[in-house]
Amino acid sequence: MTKNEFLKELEKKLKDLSAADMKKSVEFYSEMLDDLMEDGISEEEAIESLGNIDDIAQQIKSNQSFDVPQNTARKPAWFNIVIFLCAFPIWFALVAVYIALWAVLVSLYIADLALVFTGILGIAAFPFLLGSPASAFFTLGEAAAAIGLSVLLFFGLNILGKLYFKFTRWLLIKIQYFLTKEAA
Amino acid sequence: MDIQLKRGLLDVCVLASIKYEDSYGYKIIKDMKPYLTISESTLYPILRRLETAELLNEYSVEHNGRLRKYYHITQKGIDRLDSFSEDWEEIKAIYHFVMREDNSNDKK
Repeated sequence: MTKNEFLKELEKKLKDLSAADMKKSVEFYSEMLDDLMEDGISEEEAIESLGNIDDIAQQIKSNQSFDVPQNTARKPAWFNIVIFLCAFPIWFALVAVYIALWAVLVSLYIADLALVFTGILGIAAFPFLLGSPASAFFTLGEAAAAIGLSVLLFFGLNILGKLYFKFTRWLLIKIQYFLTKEAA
Repeated sequence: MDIQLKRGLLDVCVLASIKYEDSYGYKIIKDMKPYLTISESTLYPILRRLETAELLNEYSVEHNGRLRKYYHITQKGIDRLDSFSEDWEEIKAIYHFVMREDNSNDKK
């Protein structure tokens, strides 16, 4: 691999960073390779001495997340804001879909709660139904099944809820980035 | 050296290597080599972190038809090195605690 190939590859692996951060990282490694080669080390050996390119990219990215809030000053991108406002009819409908998705989740939680109540009621009713043992035990079994099901549903809904939150955060960041641009 | 211990010392060592003279990435690694071995991929995040914390700043100088980035220690960086000597007193005390001889049998 040549130096240029290495830097191209690194650039590709850093494409989720901001343009400024990516440029800075690539420049650092470019300088490092030049200095190594100036010291009499061959191009091939210099690149090899840097180690695995995936590790390098990973190390740059993992550290980046620490100082993203401080060093990405942004200012409004007015043109994009105008586009955003003009597109109101389109995304307004999507907002409705988004709210509906949350409503579905909330209603499923309520259904889950109802299931728990069914179970509790079934167990509470057990002593009163002993007059006919068959139906009493049947009710008890049903109650246990309802509670078991509600627990499973609860965990499932929690996962779904987390996904919703993740999606919301992702969406908000995307919108924020669309409406602003780097200040530098 | 133990990797955790080393990690805590790297920031200070990088600052120390530019304490008296501005330096660039490759030279910092070479200057530190007798004391701590540090790879390029380790140095880069440290430099970025120190820069973000305003312990150093950087500027570019032309060298052999390309740009080389030099790092310059700030007053805040010098203060950080000064506070290291205070840390050192504590580390010495810890060292003595770790290395102390067993005297419990003498008393008998």
